[in-house]
Amino acid sequence: MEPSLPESEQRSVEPDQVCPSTVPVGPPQRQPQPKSTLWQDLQQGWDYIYFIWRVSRRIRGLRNQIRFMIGIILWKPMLPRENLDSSGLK
Amino acid sequence: MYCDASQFKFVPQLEQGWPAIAGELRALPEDVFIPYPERYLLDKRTGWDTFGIYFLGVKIDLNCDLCPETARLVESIPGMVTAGFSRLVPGAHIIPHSGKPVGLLRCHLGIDVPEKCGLRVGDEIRRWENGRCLIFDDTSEHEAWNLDSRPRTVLLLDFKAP
Repeated sequence: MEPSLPESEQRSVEPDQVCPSTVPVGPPQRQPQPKSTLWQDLQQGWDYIYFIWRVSRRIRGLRNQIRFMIGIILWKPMLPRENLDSSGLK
Repeated sequence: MYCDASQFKFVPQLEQGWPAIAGELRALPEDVFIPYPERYLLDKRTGWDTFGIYFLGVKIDLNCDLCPETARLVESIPGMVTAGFSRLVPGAHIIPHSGKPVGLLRCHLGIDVPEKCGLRVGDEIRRWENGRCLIFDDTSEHEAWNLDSRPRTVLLLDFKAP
């Protein structure tokens, strides 16, 4: 019968306990995207207007609706780097 | 970059409110979620829906009526300017982008988080957990994805950096 290791050494030889739920999955591979068409650009603009209209309908009071519309027009996340590069805006 | 969520006093209260928030989310009718319009941020141009509670300080009244406890919790956060549910459908990928430097930090409270999803901020990838906050600087490059078979929903908050 082999002597058992001290408790501290038993821990050190155990395999790492990797819990799958704590390991995040990496980002998916991206497909190369063709340059957006005029139709897609128009659709994007329409989607923006439709979004503002739908949200503003859920706000009570004209003053706050206007505050929301001005806020969303003035606030805009910066474009992704690749879009900046492709458009020459650096 | 990510911030240490334990440094913010509002985090424990918000995390304790997760069961109530999740309950209000489950009770929402489907048609109150609105597709987020900035489709160029999505790899496949679809799959990102939002339910606004506050936007840049403006209360979305009818949505607050549907989620009174969630609205009460977010209103108690110092410097809160924007709050709402953000839902990524299965397969959705928000490509790398950066927010404007306007002195805000972003908080994501995991509400209904499946297994195969993640958030990269800078060089660090983390996964949301139900009832736990991730806080990060929105001006750092970040991207998010959901490769699972069910949607991922978080409570998204922007608040003034202390």
